[in-house]
Amino acid sequence: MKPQTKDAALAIRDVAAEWITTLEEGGERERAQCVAWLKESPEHVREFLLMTALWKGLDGIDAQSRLDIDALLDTAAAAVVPLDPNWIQQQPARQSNESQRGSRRKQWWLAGAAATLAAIGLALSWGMPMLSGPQVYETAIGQQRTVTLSDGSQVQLNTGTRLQVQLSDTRRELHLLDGEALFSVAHDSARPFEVHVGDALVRAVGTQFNIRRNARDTTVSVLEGTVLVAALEPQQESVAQRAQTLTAGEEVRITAHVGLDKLAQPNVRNAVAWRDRVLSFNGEPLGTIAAEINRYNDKLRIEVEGKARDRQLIGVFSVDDPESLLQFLSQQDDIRIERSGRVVKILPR
Amino acid sequence: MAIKPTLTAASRDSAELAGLVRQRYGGALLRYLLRYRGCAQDVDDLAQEVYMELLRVPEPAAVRQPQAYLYRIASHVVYRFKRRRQRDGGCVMFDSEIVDQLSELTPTEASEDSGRQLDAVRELEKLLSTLPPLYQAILLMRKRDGASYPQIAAKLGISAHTVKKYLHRAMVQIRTAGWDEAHKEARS
Repeated sequence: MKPQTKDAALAIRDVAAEWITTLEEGGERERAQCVAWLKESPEHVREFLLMTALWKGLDGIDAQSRLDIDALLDTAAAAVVPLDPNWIQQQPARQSNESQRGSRRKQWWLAGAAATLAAIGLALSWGMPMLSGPQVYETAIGQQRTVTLSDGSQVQLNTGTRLQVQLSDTRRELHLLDGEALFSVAHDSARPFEVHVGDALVRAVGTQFNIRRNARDTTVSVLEGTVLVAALEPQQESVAQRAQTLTAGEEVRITAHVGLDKLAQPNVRNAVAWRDRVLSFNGEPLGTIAAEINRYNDKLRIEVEGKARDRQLIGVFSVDDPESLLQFLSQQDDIRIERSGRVVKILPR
Repeated sequence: MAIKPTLTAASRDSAELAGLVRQRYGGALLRYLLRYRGCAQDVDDLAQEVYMELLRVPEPAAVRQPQAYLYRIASHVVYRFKRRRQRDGGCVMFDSEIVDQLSELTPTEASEDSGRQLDAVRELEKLLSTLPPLYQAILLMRKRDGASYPQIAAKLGISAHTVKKYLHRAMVQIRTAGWDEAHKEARS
């Protein structure tokens, strides 16, 4: 069943794709026609199966909504939809917690309406002032989102994060109030990019770095360029504990007592693995792993007790699938699992 | 890794389990098609067997839901492939058909399960990014945002018919870019 020619193969693919959308809303007649087409050749069957798999596989596409429809359309052709440039910039101002499919759909629809309005008032809107007060971007448990700031910098927010942003002509001041974020800073030497996190300050000009704020400590990881990290209320003796310059590949942990502590074995790639919604563990104790998984979901709360807490694991888990960890653990001889409601207890056997 | 807990569930609620099987099973086929597409011969064999089955069945059964029907046949074929392999590997088989089907997932396979699904989606996302931006936008609006064709058409200021046409082209491009490369590698 080799395709006769390239064109013939493509033609079959095209028909297979057509059947996918036809069957979405088609009636009995269309379904019968489709079956008749399938019965014509195994090659039709193959293409239809692959196209169906492709269509199903696309269900999970861009689950974190990293791609912006309007930005895509903007690059596609200005002729298709006359977009209001201010409207795009203000888009990050849309308040958070919108990741649910339903609300996203609504949001998207508003966007459509906005675009239409924008087309009417295009001339006026060019002169519209930018929002100037501080804005707070948030993510719910398990949610991730990317915001583009008006200076062109991009911030990816991880689960359970709050970030306050204030941009002016002279400064770019951000406060990481909770959680974790990856900053890709647009270069602008006139306006340093400063992130306040607890009692520390991270300053950059144009670079990429990740900050994770925990209850007791904060970790800064630099992916690109150079950043300056400083403790704001230094009680520490040594200069290195108060301020440090980090370059790509370096990480520093900030704690109230010790101040800054450059990590001897940094793993910057691991620090930003969250962008793929994957948790990767290399011998971490189960207690730590459970805390990490709990960070990403509010449906299950995993509690590890006694000796089980020290049990070390190597593995890669999807943050969206805490059950896979539990299923894995349930197969271990020295561990048992008790469930009551949303609390799952992991106990030594 | 899913085997143990699922088997326990078998005694409790067989209806729920049947649903789980369908879900897992469909997932297995999906991954098979998305991940093993490099083995052109395998996919050809699969299509051939599904085709033969399709010719055997009475018309009405297939017509009610062609996609689901074909998928079910294909799932069974994939399952048979795997069972053959398992027999060679000397794996234990269970009596009940449902449990039987579950055992098609070896523990190692199951533990890679979510990772693989993730891989498949990642790969599709990579392929998506090679499409013209307009195609990308249409696919995202439909599949990610759940917009209807008329809604997409209204946003773009084109007809719903044209939206579908672009969508077909986008899918053929993903299909062709992703699979032909893999086919070439598999054959060389």
